[in-house]
This record gives sequence, C-alpha cells and structure tokens, in this order.
Amino acid sequence: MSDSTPQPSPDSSSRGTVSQPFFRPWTLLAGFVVGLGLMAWAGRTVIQRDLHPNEVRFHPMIAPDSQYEPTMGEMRAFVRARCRPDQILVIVGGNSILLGVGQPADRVWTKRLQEILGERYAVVNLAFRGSSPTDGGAFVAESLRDEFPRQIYIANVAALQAADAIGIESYRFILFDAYYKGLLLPWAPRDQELKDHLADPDHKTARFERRLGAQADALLHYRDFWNWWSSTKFFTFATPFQPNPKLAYKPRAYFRDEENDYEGTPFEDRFTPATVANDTVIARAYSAAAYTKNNNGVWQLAPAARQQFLNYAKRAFPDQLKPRTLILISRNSPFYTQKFEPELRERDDQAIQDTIAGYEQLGYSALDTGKGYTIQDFGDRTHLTSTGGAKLAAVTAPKIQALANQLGYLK
Amino acid sequence: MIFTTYWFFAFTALTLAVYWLLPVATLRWWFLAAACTVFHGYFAGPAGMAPIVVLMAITYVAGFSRQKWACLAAMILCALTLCFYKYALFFIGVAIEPLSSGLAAQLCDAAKKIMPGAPPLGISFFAFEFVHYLFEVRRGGEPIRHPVKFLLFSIFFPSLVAGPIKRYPQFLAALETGSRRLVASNFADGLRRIAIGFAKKVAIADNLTFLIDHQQPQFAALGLFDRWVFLAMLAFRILLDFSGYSDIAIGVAKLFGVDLPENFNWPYLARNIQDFWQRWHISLSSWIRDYIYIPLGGSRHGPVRRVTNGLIAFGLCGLWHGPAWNFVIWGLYHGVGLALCATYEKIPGVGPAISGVFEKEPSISFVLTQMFVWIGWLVFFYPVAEALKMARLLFGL
Amino acid sequence: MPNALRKFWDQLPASAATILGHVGSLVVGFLAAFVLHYVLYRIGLPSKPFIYVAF
Repeated sequence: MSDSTPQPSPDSSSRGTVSQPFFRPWTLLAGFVVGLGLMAWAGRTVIQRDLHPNEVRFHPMIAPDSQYEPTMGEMRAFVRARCRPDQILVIVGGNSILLGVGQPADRVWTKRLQEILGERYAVVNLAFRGSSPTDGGAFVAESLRDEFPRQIYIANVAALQAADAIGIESYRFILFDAYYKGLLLPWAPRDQELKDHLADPDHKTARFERRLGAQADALLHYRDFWNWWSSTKFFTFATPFQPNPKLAYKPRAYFRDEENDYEGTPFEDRFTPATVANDTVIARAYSAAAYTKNNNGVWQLAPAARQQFLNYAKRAFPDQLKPRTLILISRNSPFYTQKFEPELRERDDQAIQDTIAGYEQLGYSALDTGKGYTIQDFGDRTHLTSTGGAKLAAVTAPKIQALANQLGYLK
Repeated sequence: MIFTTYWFFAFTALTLAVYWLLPVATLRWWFLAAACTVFHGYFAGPAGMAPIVVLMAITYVAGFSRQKWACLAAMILCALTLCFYKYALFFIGVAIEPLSSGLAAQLCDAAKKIMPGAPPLGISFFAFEFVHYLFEVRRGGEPIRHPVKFLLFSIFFPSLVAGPIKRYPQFLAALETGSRRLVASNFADGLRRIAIGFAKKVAIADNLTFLIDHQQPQFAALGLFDRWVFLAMLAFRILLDFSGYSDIAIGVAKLFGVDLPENFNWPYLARNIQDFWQRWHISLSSWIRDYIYIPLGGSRHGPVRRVTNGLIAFGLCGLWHGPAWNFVIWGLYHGVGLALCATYEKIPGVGPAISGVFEKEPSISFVLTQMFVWIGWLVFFYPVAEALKMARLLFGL
Repeated sequence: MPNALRKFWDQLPASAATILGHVGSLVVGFLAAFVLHYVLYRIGLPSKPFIYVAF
C-alpha cells in the first residue's frame, strides 16, 4: 500500500485534438424508448401463440414449481389453441386432484372427459398444484367470458370448503396479472379483498412491490415476452427444481410432462406407515368441524359454521359467473374411509350434501364426485389414479352436459 | 437487493422526472434531499433510520463547529456505533464467551433487546463517510454548512446501500456542477451504465451463483480442471455482482448529473497485489489507506511498521466486510500479500532474481497475482477449514 | 476508449463518424432497453420454487 494518493492520468486531448464523442445522447435515448416500446409490442405479439402445443396441462416445468409463472396471455392462448369458437369451453381449474397428479399425460382424467363429452366440447386443464378454486383457471375462464360465452368452469373443494375470491398466495401472480390488465369483472367482494390484502401492514411492502410489477407489466408485457423466450429459446436462469446444470438453460418446451404414474408405483410406496398414520388423522377430520347430532341422531351443521361457509362461497365468484361454475366435492380414498365407524362416514356424507346444497343455494352447480371408487382408484388419500380419473370423468360428464343444457348452450 | 425492486425503478423514474422539470439547482437539491429521505425511510424503516439520523446530526454539528475535539468525539461515536450494530455479538463471542459463556449469553440478550433485527441499512458506508468527513474537517477542510447539501452527501440514495464510498469535496463539486446544468449525455451515460450493471448482476452473476451453490458440495469429487473452473466462477461472480452493483449506483447518480467515484478498474488485469487494490473496491481501499494506514504511520517508519500497519489496515478491511473470522483472515491474507509485494525485492539473493523474472516476463507476475486473489476468495466465502481444504484440492493435495 | 480504437475513430471522416455514432447509439439504446426489460421480468419472479406438498 502506498502513502500517496494516485495522481490522475494525463488528459488524452493534451495533444491538441479534441476527439468527438461516439455516443449521441438523444439518439441513445430514442433507441431506449423505441426499444422498450418494441419489446412491449413483441411481448403482446408473441404471447398470442400457444407456447405449449404438446401439453395437456401446466406440468411442474411450466408452473411455479420450477419458478416459471405462466401469464394470463399464455394461458389464454393455451385455451384458444384447444377450443374452437363453436365449441363449449370447459375449463378445469382447482388443485392437484383435478390437475391429475399421479396420472400420466396420456391418461389424465381430462382427456377421458373430453372423449366422453365429444367434439361439441373442448376440455382444457388449467388446474395447478396446491391451487384454490378461485385461482388460475378461474381467472382465465373469466377473462374469456366474451370470447367464449358458452363456457363451464370446474373446480374442486373438500366438504364445507370455499375459497378467497383473490385465491392463494402462491398463485396470486395470476390474479394480479389479470386484474391489472383489466381482464376481470368488477366484483365488489373481490375488489375489497384485494384492497385489504394490499393494505395488510405486515406485508404491505412486498404486496405493493407485486402490484407495481403487475402495473408495469400491463404496460411493458415483459412477463409475456420473457416467458415466450424462456419456453422457446432458452431459460435464462437455473432453478433448484431442475438441478442438472446441463439442462438448466434448456427452453421449457424441451421438458415433457413426466407426471408420476400412481398405477406404476407400488402400493406400499404410496401408503407408507408414516403417511397412513398422518393421513388417517386428516381423513377423520374431513367433516369434523361444527357437526353435532340432533335429537333424531342426524348430523347437523352448526348454523354459525353454515353461515360462514355460505358467506365465503358467496364472495368467491362474481354472481354472473356462478351459474356456469361447477364445484366438485372431492372425497378421501376408501382405503381410509372404509375403516371409519359408520357414523363418521354418515357425517362425511352429510357434510358433502350440505356443501352441495349450500353451493346450489348460491347459484352454483355442485356435484359429489361419488362413492363408487375402490382403493385402487386412489393413488394416495386424495389423488386419483388414471382408472379413478376415468370414473371421475364418467361422473362429471353428465353433469356438464346437463349444465350446458340448463344454460342454453346446446341450442 | 434494493436495486432489483420495482419500487426502486418507479422511485428513480419519478424522482428523475421531477428533478429534471425543476427549473433551478437549489430547488433540485431540496427535492432530491426529500426524495433521499423517503428512500432511506422506506428501506431502512424507523428503527434503521433513527441511528443514522442521530449520527448525521452529530456529524453535521461537530463539523460545523470545526472544533477538533468535537470532530474527534464524533468520529469515535461513529466508529462505536458501527461496532455496536455490526460487531457487538461478534466481539462478545470472541472476547467474553471464552471467559464466561453465561455472561456472554446475558450480554448478547441485552444487546439484542436494543438492536433492531438487522444492522441499520448501510451502516458501514455511513460510518465510513462520516469518519472521512470529520477527519478532513478536523485537519482543516471546509465543512458543509448547507444542511441540505450535507443531507445529500449523507443519504444520497444511489450510493446509500452499497457505495461507492464518497468523498465530500468531490461529491459536492459534482452535485453543484451536475445539478446546475442537466444535459442529455448524463441521461444517456447513466442509462448505459445502469444497463451494463444489471446485465453483469442479473444475467451473469446470479447464474454463476447457482452453478457455484450447486457444485460446492461436490467440490472434492470434481476433476482438477473443474475445480479451477469453479474458482474462476467464484472470482467472476463476486466481481460481476459487486461491480454490477457499483455500475448501477454510478449510473443512477449520473442520471441526476452527479459523478460518483469509480469503484472497479479491471481488477483481474492487475499485475501485482498493490495494483489489484488500486483496481478493486477503489473507494474502500483508498479510505483504508487514507484513514487507517496513513494515520497509523503508513510506510514512514521503516519496513516493520509498514508491514504492521498494512496488516492492521487490511485486517480491519476484512472485518468491515462482515463480523466473522473468515473475513478477518481474508483481510490479513491480503495484508501479507501486500507486504510481500512491497518487500520481496529486498530479500537478499532471491529478491532481485524474482524481480528480474517478473520484468522479463510480466505474465508470470500477472498469473501469480490472480491466483493469489482468486484463492483468497475461498476464505472470503467459506469457513476457514473448508476454504483450506478446497485450496489444497486445487493443487491435487 | 482503447488507444487503437480511438485512433481509428479520430481518423474517420466526419460524416462517417456521425452515422456510425448515431447507429451505435441507437443499438446501445435498444440493448439498454432489452436488458432493462429482462431485469423487470426477472425481479418479479419468485426467488424459490413453489414447494408442492400433497394434502
């Protein structure tokens, strides 16, 4: 280390000539502004095409599991590529059960549903792992209400379950995308929920950040452009979900839907003692909340609990979308339920009846996914195997057809 | 990271727009000062802002008074504040824990009750800039009388979080010149610099981070060549990350017409350690030189004092990076390197020979310098034992 | 600017230098927009994968 402060180097123009600068500021600024505009235009344009033509659903490599967040534009293009204007659009939302976890892509239940419903319908799977009924596919369906007025939206819940109108945190990026691009209906309960969500003092900074991002994206379409780039050219960063460095930067189109096949997985691997112990507790609690037996020995839902459920369900979807919304009530695997005491099974059945009644009272359609499943139809406590999925399709299809008829889609 | 937030983008765009529209420099200073206060408050929060505001006020008053004792007292206060917020737990662990773990635990609990969850945002940079200011005023420099200019020097938002460490005469001159006449070239130059900084950081450094984190657990299983590739990735990651951040800070400041000091000058082209430290984190190394090494006596009292002063300066430089022993050791490692660099020629017999070789073949000196620096990064990033193991594995040992 | 490049630049006729300067500035402006567009995308992505736990 030296004691003296380094002296500046001699001025290069001391030879007498003044070199003109290379960069022209106004031209550079013009290039920047035009460049941003071009990128925004490019984002709007490239997202019109279907980025996932070979996929039947948003599998983990094109989902937040691998830090990929599909945009509204992307999902809308996904739908447009699979549904003609003359078809009745059936969008399947909900969680991993309807996504078809445990069902390989060529035997996913929505494929079977399409086969049963026939050409008059187009079934599009927009479910996401861990999602709620009001997430993802729900917003896509809503945004396409004018383009595909003959639409049915399907999601699933457990008994007495409803969802926040703004969905859950993991998929809230979809709500923000849709909301700040003006794709959603005005719906006061949802608007209020969003306002409260943004105003929450514990998370204000992070949520304001997300809001700013969504507003900027509505203008600049950077998520659309870079999702297109990441899907078709190369992925621009590595994710721990795909730890192999050789595959880290492959475009997402490179990866196939490699969903685990429950039917190919040995039973004892799926129902380990620890899993069974844990899931037994969960299954037994399926309808535990707020049920008591009345004087006649019939399970009754406490009025306060019923009202709470109804309030939630009422706010979940805009009123004009409720009639075309079909809520499937998912059950647990008979591996667990057949071991229950009869009165526990009765309570579960009552809870499902009450859930259906509640939803229908509010203007939705609702359906029990049925009791005709065997142990082999389930891959774990909640997810169906391909065989079980085919049964689900068989149960759901008539309800969809009836609903389409009721809504006047078949005229 | 603050620069990689939408809020930062929106804040900068809005502040810049208003700044450019204001007709006179004085109004721009006031507005920019208010904006910087909002910025600091947003990211630091009240708990993080309060100690900085107090230090700022004390530094301003002490400087204004031009009293040597006041400046010295304020300098000590700044240093103690930095030590408390950043190093209290470390010092308790080092000095008290070996003697009495019970007392150490009590002191830690007491300290944690007073401290916020994390040290106040940018405390290291604030402390260094205030000490620089007070030191210069104490030895006759003109204090900043205008409170708005002082506030701008203190919490100028582009350099608030991660430097460069500013020197107040240059900053004020740049502020006054730049704010009086706004020109398109400021905007163009700033934009270019910001884009370069983000490209370095987001496009390259962050990806190197993934590869490094993925490969480090398997370092022993890598082939010899791959281990050196890993080392290169580590070296370039920190360079691109840090210099990228500096580029963004310098670019943003340039948008406002303010020139911040350069912080990096192609450090991996350095031909010796001394050259390296004139290219790497220049604002820090020059601060260490001017306010620790030279006040300790520099090289004015013979080679032994020179080496000792260098070791102290660089030990503290290492400690500044974080409250952990590996940082101190990294600093001392470089102190030793600098000492060797300054004195090897005087080693009887061998010294002149080596010097001759380096003169004849400068690439040898370059390669040795880079190896020294790059291997030093191991102890910067990993616990000492792990770093030593990795260093041995680099040579197949 | 490296010396060789500066020499070349200084020796260019004024008209050529002007055109080159404008073209270069336009390109750099586009690149800056490209980079910032990407950065805006990148900073909005989650920092960790979404961990799905079957329930």
